Amino acid sequence: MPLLRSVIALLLILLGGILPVVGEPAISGALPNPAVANSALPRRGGTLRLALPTDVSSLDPARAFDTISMQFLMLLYQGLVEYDHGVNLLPGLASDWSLSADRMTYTFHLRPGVRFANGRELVADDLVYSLERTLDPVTAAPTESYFEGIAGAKAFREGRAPHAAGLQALDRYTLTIQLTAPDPTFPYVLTLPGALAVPREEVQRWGADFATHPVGTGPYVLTQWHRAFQLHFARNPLYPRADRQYLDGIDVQIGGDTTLHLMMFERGELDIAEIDDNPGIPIPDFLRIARSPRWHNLLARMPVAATEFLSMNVELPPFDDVRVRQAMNYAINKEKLVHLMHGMVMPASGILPATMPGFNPNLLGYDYDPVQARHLLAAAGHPQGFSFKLWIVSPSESPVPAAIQYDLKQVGIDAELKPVTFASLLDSEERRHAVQCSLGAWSQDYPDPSDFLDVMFNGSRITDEGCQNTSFYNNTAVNQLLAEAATCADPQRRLQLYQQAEQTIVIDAPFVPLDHPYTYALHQPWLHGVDLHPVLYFRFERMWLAK
Amino acid sequence: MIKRFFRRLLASLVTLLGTAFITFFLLNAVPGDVARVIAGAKASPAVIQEIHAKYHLDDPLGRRFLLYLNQLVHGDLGYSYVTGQSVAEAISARLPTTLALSGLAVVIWVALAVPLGALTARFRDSWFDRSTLVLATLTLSLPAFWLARMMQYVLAYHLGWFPIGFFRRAGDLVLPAASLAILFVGYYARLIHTNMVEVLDSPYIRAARAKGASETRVLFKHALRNALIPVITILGMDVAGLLGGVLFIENVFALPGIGTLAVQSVFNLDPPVIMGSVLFSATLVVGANWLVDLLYGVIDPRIRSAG
Repeated sequence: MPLLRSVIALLLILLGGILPVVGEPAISGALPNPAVANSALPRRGGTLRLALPTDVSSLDPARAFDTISMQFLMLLYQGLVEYDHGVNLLPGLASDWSLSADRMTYTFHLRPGVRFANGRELVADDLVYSLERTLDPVTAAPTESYFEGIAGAKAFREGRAPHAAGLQALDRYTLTIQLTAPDPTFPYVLTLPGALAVPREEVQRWGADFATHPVGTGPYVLTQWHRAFQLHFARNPLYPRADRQYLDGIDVQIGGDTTLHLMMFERGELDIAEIDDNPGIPIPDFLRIARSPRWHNLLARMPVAATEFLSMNVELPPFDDVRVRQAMNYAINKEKLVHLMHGMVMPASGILPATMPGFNPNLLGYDYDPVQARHLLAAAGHPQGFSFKLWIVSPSESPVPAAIQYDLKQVGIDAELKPVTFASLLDSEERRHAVQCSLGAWSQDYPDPSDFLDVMFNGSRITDEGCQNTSFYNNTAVNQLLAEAATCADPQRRLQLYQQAEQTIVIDAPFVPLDHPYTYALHQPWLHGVDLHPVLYFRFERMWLAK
Repeated sequence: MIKRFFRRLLASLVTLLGTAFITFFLLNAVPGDVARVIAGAKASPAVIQEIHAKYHLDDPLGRRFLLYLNQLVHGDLGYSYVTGQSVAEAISARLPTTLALSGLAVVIWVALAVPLGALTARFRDSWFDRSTLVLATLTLSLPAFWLARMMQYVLAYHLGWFPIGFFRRAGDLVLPAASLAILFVGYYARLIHTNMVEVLDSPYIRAARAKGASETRVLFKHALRNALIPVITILGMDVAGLLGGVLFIENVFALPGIGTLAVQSVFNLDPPVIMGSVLFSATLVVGANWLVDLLYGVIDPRIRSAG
């Protein structure tokens, strides 16, 4: 029999590319006790097992700003404020805060007795140091620009002042942050990695190696990091909240692709398999999992506050004609894209995702209407259509570019796909007059409409190089609405202003909103607390194991 | 011999310099700002400018290449733009895995190819010979990544005979090494087969048989020894092919070796690591060729005197 099994195995290997192997593998290791697995009460203990395709870039909050690193930064560090289960802000290191009458000075009162993992108590000076470190040009922090609104930040950055004047530690536990102008989004900015507290003595002791020897006040500490191999986190004994430390540890294996991770997950060797479109598990696997009676109840889904779009450079012909841009909007069948993506995305009619405050369900967008598209093209002087280059990121397994190409062809528009690397696309599309049209995506840094509309469509921010308004759209009315909203004190009025701006932008059509993606997390039945967070995604510190 | 040694050494250095030159200029021909990769899509122009200054990205290309060469001369391969880790440290940390994987693969393929080659020569034109030829042709035609994924899928995922991936203990390398070895077994089995057929027809083998030597002794003592000489030479030269296979196998099985480092550095657009891994691999290939060349001279006096 072993010989027969070997022969069958060999045949399966040779035929594996042609014939699908049916059936699911047995789970190795002990199965969880269903009684315990179904228990609703959180338990302490156990080690969470994860895998990542690539190494974490850095665990220094001033240096890391990618989705993967951020999830681990939140284990190690804390900021003045933090998110609740949704997008509301709660006190973090600060016990409370207040805003001055002119809405330009925040006063934070720190909790006494909070300790860094090295044992020293955190004081207000540590926050001043951490924020100044992010502002310091030498650090080259990717989040630096978010903190430019702090008074004195510019002078400090340019070396004209030894400190940022707007950052003051009034006493051991009181910190004030003064801004140059009212900014309703500033509390959200304080959730970004650049605002997490680090101890000066550890940063100075390790220098650049602080990235691999992180010390914070968070619920876990890094105990092992074999670069490109393995990370291990253990409970921080100095952290006071037991409800953020159910797990004894978190073990992260680095390497492999998502196909390998899914195989390991299905054999019970991992507790979570992430399914999203970046880097992405192949769609057939997603369909198999979604339809599997074993897994479909364990597949958590959450809409991502992101928009995937086709950006048209309004300064370059033929996209300098609004009728052509509107025709592009009418020509693309978004429902078909959703179908092709097997429901892993939802169609977008506007710029703001549905989870974003200010989302307008009544926004007037463009329905799929190829006849109207042809009329508009004819009116714009392109009755036979036209040709253009559509820049896309390569490598990509997404069916979206080809589907768009097909839809446009139906109205006479010939889109030649131009696959380039991500770095090349960024570099080119942010330069003026360089890219005619590109496929892109934008995701939120914090849940505020300004993070989409002000960044991507504010004409007053257009620069010749490094311009994130990649359609180079400039409408004075929109600019004024965005400027007014940026400092508006009334939250309701502010959201109305953003909705007005969004409606105008959609009519002007500098881009085609395509879809808003979902993110998925597949977890084992014995893992609990896998509530995907709309900004932070996985919050490992809130998970617990029932096995 | 000494003259030959230095001549080959000089040729090797020129090859490495050429590799460094081509890789450096190709990397810089890739469109896209490396500073964007380092700082992320949402970094401000000031941060991008800072990174340009830090890594001399605005300097003329020729000057940057000279700076890089100066670094190399001092044994410094630089630091990863993405992780900040020393490239030399990254390579040395991964080298043991790659060496262990390659070593085990060589052992497996030699252990399979030698008896297969010898026995198919002995039983020429039998069903065993023909079916081995079919399998050899098949393994020669299979892409490394496909074979590795299929072996992983069937033997590890479905049957559970091996770990699916990652490297925890030495035994975890068996399946990856076997995947790598199979790619070479067919070729070497046929090579040994051809040499063996030739040797088995030679007069001294007939003489050995006439003297009453057992068939096993004739095959493995008299014939195989001579048939293996050209194979050993080719084995040394196949280091390059082995590194190519290692690149795929390490990535499929998530092994922390030079192959995964190289692939990740390309995806990250991390020039110092790409340069480091290419130069390191080139050094291995050039070194192996140099060694084989010298050994060949030692084995064959005609080459020594000609050199």
